[in-house]
Amino acid sequence: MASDDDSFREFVNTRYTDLLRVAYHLTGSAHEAEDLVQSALVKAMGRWRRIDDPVAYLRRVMINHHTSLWHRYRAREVVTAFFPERTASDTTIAVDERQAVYQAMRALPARTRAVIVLRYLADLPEAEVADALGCSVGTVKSRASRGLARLRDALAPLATERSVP
Amino acid sequence: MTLDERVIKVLGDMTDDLTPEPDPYGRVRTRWRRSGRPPAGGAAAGLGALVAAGGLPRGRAQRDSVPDPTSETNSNWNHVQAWSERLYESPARGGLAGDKVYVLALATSVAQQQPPGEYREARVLFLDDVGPYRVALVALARTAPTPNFWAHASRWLVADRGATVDKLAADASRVGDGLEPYVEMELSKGGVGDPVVQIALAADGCDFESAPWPAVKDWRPEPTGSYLVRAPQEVKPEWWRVTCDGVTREEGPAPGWLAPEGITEAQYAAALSGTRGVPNTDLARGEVLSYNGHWGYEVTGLPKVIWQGRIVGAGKAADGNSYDGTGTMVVAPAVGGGWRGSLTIQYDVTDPVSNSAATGVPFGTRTDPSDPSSVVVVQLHDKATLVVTPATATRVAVVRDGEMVAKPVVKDASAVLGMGVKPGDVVRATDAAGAVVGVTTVHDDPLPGRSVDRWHEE
Repeated sequence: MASDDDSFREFVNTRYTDLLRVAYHLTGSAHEAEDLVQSALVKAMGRWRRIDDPVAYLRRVMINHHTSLWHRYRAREVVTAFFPERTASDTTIAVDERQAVYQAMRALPARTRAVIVLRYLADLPEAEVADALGCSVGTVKSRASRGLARLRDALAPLATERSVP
Repeated sequence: MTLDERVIKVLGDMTDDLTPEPDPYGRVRTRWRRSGRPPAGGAAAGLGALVAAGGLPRGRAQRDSVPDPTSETNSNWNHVQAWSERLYESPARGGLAGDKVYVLALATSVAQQQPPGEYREARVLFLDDVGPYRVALVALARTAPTPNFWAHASRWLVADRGATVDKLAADASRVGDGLEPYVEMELSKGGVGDPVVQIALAADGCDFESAPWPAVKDWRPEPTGSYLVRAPQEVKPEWWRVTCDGVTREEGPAPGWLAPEGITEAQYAAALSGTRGVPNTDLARGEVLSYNGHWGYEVTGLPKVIWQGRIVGAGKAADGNSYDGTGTMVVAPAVGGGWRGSLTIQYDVTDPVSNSAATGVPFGTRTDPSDPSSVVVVQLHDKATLVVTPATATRVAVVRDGEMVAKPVVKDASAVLGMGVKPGDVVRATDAAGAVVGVTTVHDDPLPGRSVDRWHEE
């Protein structure tokens, strides 16, 4: 059990930020993302030895948790984060771009958002996204296409602005 | 850089500076101790495939109905938006919806917490005390909706039963999920024995029905009409259906799964008994656990592992996804007939291209693939197909239009064809003496047990 625990601790310490990024895009909030990753890790902890691919497993758990609207009711931390603070070198357009894409992501249906996160941020092939979401590859293609189109629409005006000298 | 590449870069940039709160491991440990339970359920899934499964003398086959990626037209989206709008325009539902003072105060409070100018109005669509909770669904109309975005955002609010507006709306600053035409939620504190409640909502004028699982035949109208509430003592295995203007728009299982408190050792033993090929207990248990959670009440029995073994020579699909590795095939009887199945392929090493460690293929059959004499055919991709055979088989023959097109050797109750299969293909398994020990015909049917979702249709 000690070695299991060591393995789990090492995993948490090395992969936590990666999981947090996925969770952030799913939830849109740093605090909600922490909550989602923590919940998924608690679920994984009890069966650590039996999980052969922890990252894939945790992605699945987080997405199911999030998209099934399973709401854990408890005293929540107050959500104040919009997106992670950035300073200094950001240009106004870059900030506007993130704001636009953020809002567009929040407007997507949860499962479409999950497709975008897994396909384009986790960089999984369509087949693996379908596996994680429990749908066909065709559905992944469809949702990815529609979701990306909306993100594109959100960014297009700013991209035009960016291209103007 | 194309616009798509720009979108993806911006998405990546958004989390560049995301840093965990302190001591993630310690917080997991603390939460684990607080939860005091071995979590149940799980999640996994699979991909589209052309498949067949049949026992001697005749087999059946089914195909996942993969939608045309280009079929989601603006028209479809407009239909979805129209239903969403109809839900938004519906009066508040729920046992407390008649408390106009509370409803107005709640809507006002939520609206006041939003960024100025982003939304033009907030409405309470549902309000009730359900079990130990006070629950509300609030929707907000965007001030400047655009054609490709949801016109409304939504947010579930939860507090203790009888909570004041201030307490219920205390965390309403974050809204975001688009208001879909049909919404459902399951609510619990998450611990063993904690009360679970369920709520589902559609537009006013739609009608909810429910049917007990596993038969899912005796549909009965819900007295609440266009919404449904399950208090803790009412939560049960069942399916829900929503009919609007005479058309069934939504039909599917209520949240939940067959072994909500975890799978017992006896259930694992049954699920793993009779596995063909080369059993791998650890992988098999993981798949049973996952699909118990994933399939839920779409199936009528716990998943069973019918085959495990090596898949060699399947290669990669056009999209780069690899299919060689250790396969685990699980099946379960589907609600409404037929069988759901999934083949998970665990890679020997993480795929360097996709950075993934496994892939999967979902399939469905009309006949029992757990029958030891069945032949199960699962197309992995355009140029590779897995055939699982009876244990005594030594060869597989594929006959297309009267001609044999493949005859691979069977090893560990399976063979990989270096080709895809087509509806009408006949796949025979023969033993060392040449006797047919199993046969199936590939068909082109939708997966069994699929839920209905027709909000995008006219």
